[in-house]
Amino acid sequence: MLGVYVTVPVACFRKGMAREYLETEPLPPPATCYGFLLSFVGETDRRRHVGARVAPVLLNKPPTSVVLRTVWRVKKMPLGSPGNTRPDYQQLLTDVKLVVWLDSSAESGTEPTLEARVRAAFTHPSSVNRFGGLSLGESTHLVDEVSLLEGKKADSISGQVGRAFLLAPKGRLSLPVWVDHVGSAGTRYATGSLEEMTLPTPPSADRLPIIHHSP
Amino acid sequence: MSLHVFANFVTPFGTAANNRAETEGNITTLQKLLWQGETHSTVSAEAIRFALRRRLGAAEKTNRVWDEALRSNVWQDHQFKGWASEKGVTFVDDDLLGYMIAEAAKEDGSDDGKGSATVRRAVLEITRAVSLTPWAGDVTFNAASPGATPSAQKKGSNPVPYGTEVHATRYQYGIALTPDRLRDKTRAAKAIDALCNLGTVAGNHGRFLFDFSPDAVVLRVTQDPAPRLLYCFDTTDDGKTVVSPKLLQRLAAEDLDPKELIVGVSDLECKLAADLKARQVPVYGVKKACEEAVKRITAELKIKG
Repeated sequence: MLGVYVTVPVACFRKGMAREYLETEPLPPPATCYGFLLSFVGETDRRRHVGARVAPVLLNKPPTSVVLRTVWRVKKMPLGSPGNTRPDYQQLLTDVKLVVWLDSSAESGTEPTLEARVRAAFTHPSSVNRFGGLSLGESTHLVDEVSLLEGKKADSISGQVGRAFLLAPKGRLSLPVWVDHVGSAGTRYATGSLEEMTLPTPPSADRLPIIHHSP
Repeated sequence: MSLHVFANFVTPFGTAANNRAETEGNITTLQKLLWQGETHSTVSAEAIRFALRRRLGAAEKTNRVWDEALRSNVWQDHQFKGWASEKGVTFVDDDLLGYMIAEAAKEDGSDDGKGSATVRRAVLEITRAVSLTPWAGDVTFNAASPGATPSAQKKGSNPVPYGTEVHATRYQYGIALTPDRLRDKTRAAKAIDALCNLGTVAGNHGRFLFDFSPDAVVLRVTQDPAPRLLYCFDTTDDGKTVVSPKLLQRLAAEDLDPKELIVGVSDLECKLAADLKARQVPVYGVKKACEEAVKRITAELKIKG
């Protein structure tokens, strides 16, 4: 298992069903974390590492703000037509600090595993061919720091208590592990709860949400 | 390998009424967010992208052009046909800022009725700008001349009073760019140049000019996919001068390599410049720093600029 330390200065982990008021989840869903890790290693086939287990852990309590923003929708062509934009409120989180746990023991794809690739990307960044700014959620919400949770970095957060999204059959939170962007029939959720855990000890692997999609 | 260009910009000090939120009564409000425990004003990335697109238009033809008379965007190719073939004509704004046409699913819950999306991901990504200092609650009281706002003036010919939230501050924002993904790689230089010469962003009906051309910039040309410099600027004297303890900490921790950094400041004698020079970071004027970054990117990508 691998821990990745991530900071995002401004973020919105938009609730899947949010429409007029763009609410945020308290932390990025496993599907978002998985997408971020794929982007980190330069993988464009999102089915490549299905079976990976991913759990976000929130290290702090980011304050929530609300801003008014322009939201696009295409009602009329061409794109610039009036009526294609409307102002909507959006919740924003600031100063988000996270640890993302990744476990590849149940992955079904070909080697190397996502865990191995993420580790290699930290050791030899020049070996990775990737593009785009790293973000969690919207592309505007750029990630600032990404570090492997080992050595000095692990020591720096040692003893801190974080809130992890872990599987729980009767949990109070459902977060997506797979998002179907065009039509939502293929979107898959994991049920879990936010549990306090002391870092840098990783949670038990079988409680990490597993990335899976519909056949 | 993948070459990444990151930067964090900070504007000069000015009076801002940029990016309005929803009007409350007859007060035009600012957008605000909680930032390090205090209320700061903020300007959206969209507003910066809008200003950047206009600036890019001076260097090359853009797909989207703002028509002042129509007060809407006019498109050259709203279906992005130029991207279909390798040799198609593409526009600088689409290349850098991306595009998307999304068609909603006709019928939710089935694969047959799925929607579609024509997407090009932005190669240049921009973050939200956040004020360097907290907003103290400043509001100006104004009165529109009789007849100037017929909609607000229900009857008679009296002036219409209104208030405007303003913020005397600087703004900082960051960018990420992977120049290798551009159709035309020389556009990376045009983007850096436009950002270093950005003029007005957002604004309030032309009543305020807030200059977004950077007062200081830190650029990083690297293979590390994480910027590690976003929102790195700070101030200890209410925005009069800019410092960056965060950058110094990261240099000390060896999370940032001074060889990858290029810093531009408007005052070469300032504390920020001295602190960074002491850490072996090259410091130039803002325009010179921009030229230096372009030179490095061009050399790394082996492109003719």
